[in-house]
Amino acid sequence: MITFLELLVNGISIGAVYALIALGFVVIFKATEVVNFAHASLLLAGGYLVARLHPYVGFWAALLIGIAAAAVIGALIEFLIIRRANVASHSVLAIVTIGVDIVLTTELTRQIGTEVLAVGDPWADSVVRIGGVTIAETRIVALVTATLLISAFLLAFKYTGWGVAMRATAEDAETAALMGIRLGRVSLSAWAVAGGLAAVAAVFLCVFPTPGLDRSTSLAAIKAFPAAILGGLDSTTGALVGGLVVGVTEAMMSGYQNDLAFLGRGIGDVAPFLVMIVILLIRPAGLFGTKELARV
Amino acid sequence: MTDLTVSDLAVNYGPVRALSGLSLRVPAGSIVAVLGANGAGKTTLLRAVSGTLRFHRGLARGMITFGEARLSGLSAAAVVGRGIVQVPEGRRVFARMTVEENLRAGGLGRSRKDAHRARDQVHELFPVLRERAGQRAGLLSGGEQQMLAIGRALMADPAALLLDEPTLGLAPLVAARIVETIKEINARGTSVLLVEQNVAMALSLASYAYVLEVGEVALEGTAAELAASDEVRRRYLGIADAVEGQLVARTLPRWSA
Ligand SMILES: Nc1ncnc2c1ncn2[C@@H]1O[C@H](COP(=O)(O)OP(=O)(O)OP(=O)(O)O)[C@@H](O)[C@H]1O
Ligand SMILES: [Mg+2]
Repeated sequence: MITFLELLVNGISIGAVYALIALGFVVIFKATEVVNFAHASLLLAGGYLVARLHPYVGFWAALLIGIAAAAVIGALIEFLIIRRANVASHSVLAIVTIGVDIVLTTELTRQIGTEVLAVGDPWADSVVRIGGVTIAETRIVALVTATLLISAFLLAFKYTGWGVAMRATAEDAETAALMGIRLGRVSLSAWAVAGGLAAVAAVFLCVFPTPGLDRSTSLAAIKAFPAAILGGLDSTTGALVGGLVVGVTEAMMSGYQNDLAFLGRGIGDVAPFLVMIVILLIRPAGLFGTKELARV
Repeated sequence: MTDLTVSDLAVNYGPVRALSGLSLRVPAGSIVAVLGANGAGKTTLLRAVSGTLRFHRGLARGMITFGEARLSGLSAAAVVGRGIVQVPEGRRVFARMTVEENLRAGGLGRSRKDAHRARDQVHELFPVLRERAGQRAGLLSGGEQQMLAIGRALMADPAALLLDEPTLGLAPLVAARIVETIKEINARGTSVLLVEQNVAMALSLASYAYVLEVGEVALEGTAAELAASDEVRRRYLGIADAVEGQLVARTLPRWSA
């Protein structure tokens, strides 16, 4: 029972971090109908900057710089590549983002080499005990931070002019333009927000119990893809639920690995993708989505 | 004053020529109608003015101006910034957003105070939009959606309003209501470029009209001239040799009965 609770809390916490990544993914898709395969590299870039800068400026300043830089990189990808690519189809743009991802990730992996970089967070390996349940502080901070960021985002999405413009564009870009909404700005802001969220997520993917940022961090980020897709690529609610489903599934499958030995080792890493496939077979548009991926 | 002027406009969608050599003028404060059958190029004309051809891979040549300002080549948002707003064919309300949010989307370019005032005016014009404020726009009836589409466009306080078949698919009474509203909006000083297939209705509203046929102006004249022209009667009103009284009697029932 104790193990179960620990796994559950850890799963929800990591799920909330996946939700941050998936949310950015969904925002970009809603605003531009582009499936952003460069998302993992944005995340890696944000995390890398935090890891490199914190010895000089301290963790908090490094975090702010990392967030800002990832937002700027996201905006630059939109402004220099997506906006200018004169292609008819959004699928082609998705392939363009794969190219961007390869370039960014290759360069960052080269910089990282074989090192494991600490991100310099103040929580280190402290744990909290509640009853018999032991939880790492980092997991609690991750959960709280992700919850706050997601709430702030959803409130903005619902109530601000930015949110109205975003939703109008997602629903009918041409009519939004007819109403005077600047689609370029909407799209730019979507990429910037997604980049910023990814940088925060990067930090929480690299803190305890993970040893730090290394070349495989972007692989961890890739688990947010099934989160976004199983929730429904165009649904913010879907991103949250998808993130939690993936996080909890992964934590449980890894935690009970020995009991599930018949499924093979490393089932925790594969589980998110299996869940995604099962859900897509039943609901092709994802749990909360309205657009099928096939129509992208 | 600010006249909307289109001169020698040609539009292509890839190899398809949709408009050629089209010129027209909407004098400030007037209602001008553009008539024509399906595929004549009416919507294309409005897209060229509002800067949305790029959404359809269309290319325009020619000159479009609003007063001194040149509109050709501007983005759709910039055209709205110059005071020209289009209500698209088929209403195109944001179905998943509430009525209130739809109106808000129309006034995003304005200060909070101006947007508030504009919304109050829209509510005054269409009280039903106040009653349904919190409802999803997709759940409104066709007539209510058309009111919302017009109200949403008015949120930007346009100097000129472009309307694409605003009564299409509406019951006669509802269509008559929209016609009244268009008159009212115009009476407040907004110029209107009205695209319609309902010729009798359009000619009753407009002071001047153009008839498009396969992308060119086939006929133009004051509404009275066109209503009296044999050709218009024969081809668009379905009347061979009618006297004035019969014309009215035979066409009005279509939309006011
Ligand atoms: N997106 C497009 N791509 C290619 N051709 C188009 C496109 N939109 C319109 N056309 C063509 O341009 C011509 C004019 O079309 P348009 O929609 O402007 O006509 P319309 O007068 O508005 O017709 P309707 O009364 O049916 O709305 C037609 O031949 C049409 O097939
Ligand atoms: Mg049309």
